[in-house]
Amino acid sequence: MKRDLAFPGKRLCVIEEFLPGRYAFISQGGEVVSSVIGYPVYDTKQHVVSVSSMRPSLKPVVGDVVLCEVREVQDRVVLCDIIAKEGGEVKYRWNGAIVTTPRSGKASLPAFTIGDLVVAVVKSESFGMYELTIDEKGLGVVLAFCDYCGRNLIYRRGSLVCNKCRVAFRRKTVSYYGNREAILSRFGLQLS
Amino acid sequence: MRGAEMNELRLFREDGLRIDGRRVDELRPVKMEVGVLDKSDGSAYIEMGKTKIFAAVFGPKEAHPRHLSQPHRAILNCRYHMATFSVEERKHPGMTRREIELSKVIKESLESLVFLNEYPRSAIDVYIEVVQADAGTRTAGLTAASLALADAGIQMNDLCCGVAVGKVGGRIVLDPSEEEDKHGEADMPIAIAPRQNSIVLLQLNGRMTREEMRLGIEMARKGIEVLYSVQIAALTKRVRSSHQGGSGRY
Repeated sequence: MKRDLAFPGKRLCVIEEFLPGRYAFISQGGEVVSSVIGYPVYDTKQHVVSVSSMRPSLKPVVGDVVLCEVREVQDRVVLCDIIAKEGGEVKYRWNGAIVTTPRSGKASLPAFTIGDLVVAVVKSESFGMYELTIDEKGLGVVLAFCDYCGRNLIYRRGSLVCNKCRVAFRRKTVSYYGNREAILSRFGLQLS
Repeated sequence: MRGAEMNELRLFREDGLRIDGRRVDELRPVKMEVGVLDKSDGSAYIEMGKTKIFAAVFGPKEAHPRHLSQPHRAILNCRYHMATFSVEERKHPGMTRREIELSKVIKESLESLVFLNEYPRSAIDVYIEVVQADAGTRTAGLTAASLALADAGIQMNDLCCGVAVGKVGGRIVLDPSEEEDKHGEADMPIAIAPRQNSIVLLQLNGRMTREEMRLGIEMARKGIEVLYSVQIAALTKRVRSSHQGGSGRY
């Protein structure tokens, strides 16, 4: 049970001692082997060995708060690109989908417009597709655009208003709606 | 036979050593570095004698164009390329038939190492750039690529080391140089996943007897043991330098 640095292919123990956890696998000979560079972590209670990878994951994981841009709006699904995650790096854009569930007896919340920036939580991942949700508190639209003219919507008295078209939209917004500095600092982004 | 004698005269010294002073089972001086390029997700540099190669890895990321993505696994793209200034006479900057073939061969070798099913709908891009060629570029490129993949945090079942074995003047030699490769009778690049002890690449140009091939593989295994220890040292150095405030994302 040495805590030496592990490399891909390095034997950690045998299957009789520990079961493979994250970043570990069983080789043909019944040995538990590391699949990444990192330090092995032995859980003596659960009898599981995992490897703490030296590289943080570039992909979002379940539970991450992410910033995404709406790409396509359909009846039940809003497709978006995940562009940043809170407290971490998302180097590449990933596909996400916000599934809008129809609420019985209530008028469903207005959906999104293409280009809207939304703060959501990763609910699940299935084969590289992320299911996102904005149902929890503190989640929602951070920057929205007018359906008609494409201008930024201004938050006024509980709704979003377009200054040019004089049309009000209802969206679930976050407390720092429209505050660019807050958005950028929360997700570690920089204006390019 | 006369040709073989002439080759031996030219490529072996009187004391039995090779023209560059190496024993038949000796590698050229090897140097490896990991994390040499900032913009890529993982990178490595290798020098084997006069051969100098950079490898860079990008990903895992979404596969583009999207129709190429696989729902249950990642796709691995590999590009082996020689710089125009890597050889004595300027090389055309485009991809030659040889480079396309080597890209495919290296890609297939790497696919046997990477857990592609861990990255569904994703793509992993591997770029191998030969900046100076002096024989053994495909095996050195593969060695560097496996280091770069490990540096990028891609899950793999093993690292991979490659070395060529040649037949020069009727004798089997390890890691032939450009001169030996040019005047030799056969060339056999081999890549092995050292911990699994499995061969991931084996090609043969020229002719060898069964016994020569067995001897060559045995010789390559010994050379790969040395290369593997250099790989581990390079990765360890990379992790330690990152802990001490070096560049990189560790």
